[in-house]
Formats: sequence, C-alpha cells, structure tokens
Amino acid sequence: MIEILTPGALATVQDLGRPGALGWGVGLSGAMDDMALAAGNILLGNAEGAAAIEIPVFPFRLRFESAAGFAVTGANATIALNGRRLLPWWASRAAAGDLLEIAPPEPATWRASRAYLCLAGGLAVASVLGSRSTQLRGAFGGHEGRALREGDRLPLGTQAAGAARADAGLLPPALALPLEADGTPAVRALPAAEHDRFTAASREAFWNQPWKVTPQSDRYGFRLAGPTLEPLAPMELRSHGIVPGVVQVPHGGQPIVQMRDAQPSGGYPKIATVIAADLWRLGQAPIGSRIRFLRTSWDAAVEALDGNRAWLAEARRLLDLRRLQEDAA
Amino acid sequence: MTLDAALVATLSRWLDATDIDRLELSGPEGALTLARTPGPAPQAAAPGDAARSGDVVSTSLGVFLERHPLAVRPFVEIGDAVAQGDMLGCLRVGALLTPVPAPAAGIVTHRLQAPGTLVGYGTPLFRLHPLHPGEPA
Repeated sequence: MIEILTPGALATVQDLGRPGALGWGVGLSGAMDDMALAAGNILLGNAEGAAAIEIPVFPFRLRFESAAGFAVTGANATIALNGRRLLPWWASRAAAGDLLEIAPPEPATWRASRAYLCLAGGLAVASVLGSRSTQLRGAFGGHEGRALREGDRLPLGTQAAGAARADAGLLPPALALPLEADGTPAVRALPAAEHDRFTAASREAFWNQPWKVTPQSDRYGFRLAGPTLEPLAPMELRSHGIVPGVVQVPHGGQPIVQMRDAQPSGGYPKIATVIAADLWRLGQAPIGSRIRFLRTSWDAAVEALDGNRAWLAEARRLLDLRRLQEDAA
Repeated sequence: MTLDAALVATLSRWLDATDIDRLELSGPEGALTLARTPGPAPQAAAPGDAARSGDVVSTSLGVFLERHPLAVRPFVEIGDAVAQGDMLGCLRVGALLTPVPAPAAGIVTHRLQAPGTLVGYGTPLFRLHPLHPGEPA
C-alpha cells in the first residue's frame, strides 16, 4: 500500500489504455508517454502495461506503507527517498515508512513534462473494461475514476516470482530514438481525410513550420499556435469517429491534436494524424515548447511502432541478463 | 556451468580474440549471451595505467559515462567527497545503464577515462583518496 501525501494536481493512475472501447463511446486513456510507463515497468520486472501514476504537476509526495521496488521515469524529475537523491529511469527500493518526493524536473538533455512512478507489482486498482487507466470523463477506472487526492491509499500488486530488481537503469527512448526537424522536436504524421481540402499554403505551413504548444493543452488535446490554416472552402462535417493523434482544424485555423483522453467523436476537419508510435513524444512536449510535424507513410508508421516494441524487448532482454549476472555474483 | 564474473571475463577475453560476434550458452543454472558491441575495441588497461590499489575499476564491459544521460552535470567532480555506495559514473551497454559506485568513502582525485570510452573488465575508472570515519574531509 502507498499513501499519497501531496498529490500535485491531475496526477492519475494510468496504464497503456483501454483500446477496443471506442465502439462503446469510451476513449483510449492511458499514459501520455507510454514508452516511459512501459520502460519503468520493465525496470521492475513487471508486465509492460502494469498500472502506474502519471505526474504532470510537482511536487508529488507519498509514503510507502510496505517495502516496495519502484522506478520514476519520464521527465528528469528531482527524486528523493527520505531526502537521499535517486536517479531517474533507475530501479530503486523503498522500505516500509519511507517518504518519496518527486520534485520539478531539473535542467535536462531532454525537455519533458510528465513523470511516471512505476511500482513493483503495479498498482492493484480494479480493471474496468480491460484497463486500470483513469477515465476522467466517465469517472471510472484508476482510483475512483478521478485524479489522486491527499490521503488516498493505493494497493500494490504482487511482484512476479523471479522479478527481483536489478541495480540498473535504462537510457530514455527520447535519447535512444531521437526525432527532430531543423533542431525542433518532431512527430511523424499521416495526411488525414480533409488534408487536401486546405489551401496549398496552409498544407505547406503545416508540414514545414514549427507549432507552439499553448497553455490550453492537456490530456484531452493539445492546442497549437502557428500560421493560420485555411480551408479551400468552408467545411461542415457531421460528427464522426476520431482517435488520439487526429489533428483537427476548427474555425480560426489553429490546430488541436487529440490526446489520450480525447472524445471518441468530433466534427472538425482533420488535416493529419500523428502516428501512434510518436504520440508519446508529443505527450511529453512542455507548454510553450515548439514541435514540428514530419509527413510519413502508413508503412513507415507501422515500422515505427515495431521499432518501439523492439526497443522495449531489447531493454527487457538486457535487464534479464543483468539480473542473471547479479544472481550469479 | 556456474556463471560467475571470472568466467564471464574469461569468455569475453577469448571471444575478443576471435571473429565471433555473439556467443550464447545455456545450462540448468541459466543462460548467458555475450555480444560484441559495435565500435572500437575496448581499451585494455595499458601496463602503465595498471589499477592502483584503491582505484575504482570497471566490473563490466560498457561505454563509460560520467553523467546520467538526462543530466547536464556529472555525478561527481574532482575534489568531491563521496560516501561508500555513492554513484561515481555508469556504464552503458545498449539501453542498459549499470552503476559505478564508490567502494568506500573518499575524495575523488582522478577520473581515469574520458566519457564515451568503451571500457572492459578491470579498467581503472576513478582514483579516490580514502577517507576514514572521523577524518575531516
């Protein structure tokens, strides 16, 4: 069991999301940086999709009521266990009664906004529609379907047999698999249904100009600021199904990228869709930072997803070897 | 087969002398994979740089890092006092990072490898001036 002492704001229980529920009108949810959540779980010998805490606002403090392994991944947070500094992206261990503080990110070689607290055994909250992610709109999943509050107590799952921790860390995928365009962090995207119904100048601007992440950006969607995107003729669409990654252009011409807590339907014209393999890069982009869109193909998008999976599988293999070495030592 | 560090070191040396890129062994006690890291061959400790007693040596093969890859500052600077177990550096093999901890309390007097150097087993990494409990830093 862990007890939340300082919840920050909008910290939620997340896993890899609730795919397959869009047909019931239930959004995807899940970690904004699914690579960080999966890597943290791998560090602890958990299944990749074990439930963890997504922390977007700092500081976050908790008390361990029992001994537990943990790892803090994502942003380069300042991590202290009973005041002793710990490394990010590293498997650590707490004793019963220990206090963990996750304070604002330090200057880092990768600018990111969200930290993930992964725990050995995962958070044992109930699975709803196949996921432990918090569904804020529907107020279910996670812990009571809401953001964490002071005094919340969350149960830990049983650690898998043979998943003893290794004293080891992982290189963050943002550094191992960097993606930039002209020095600006980038995400790959595919043209969407209404792409060709925007002016040539607008299409050119979308793919070649940097876009600023505005303060109106959260788990539901990222509102971007940049050149005005104009349709060739006004478009009135019926409401239709949309997925996280879809880039809508409402009247006003400033795009909105749908994120993990997006509604499952919408009616704005769509200029592009950020590929699933790169949504984590956008999910970590701090407010005020700039991003670029790189046009890609369906085949390259599928290949990128395979690349992410291969990176995680290799991380798990190297950690398994390390545990074997430590057991032999 | 017993997978101890000496066996792994011996196998690594044998493998290094061949064209073999990857060796996999498995037995009742577990499995071992040794793979060649692309890039220059690991620096063998030259006779002149033989580890002095008290030097912190590499216990594994990897790329020596003086700072965490996310950090802008090194784990320790020359002249820092460290406690036993404090992290001095780390070694990277692929995505995996392993620690180089201080074996005892001391003052860091030398960093013996340039960051980014591929090091082998037993390569000296740091020199510490020992500090004993009660001795002023």
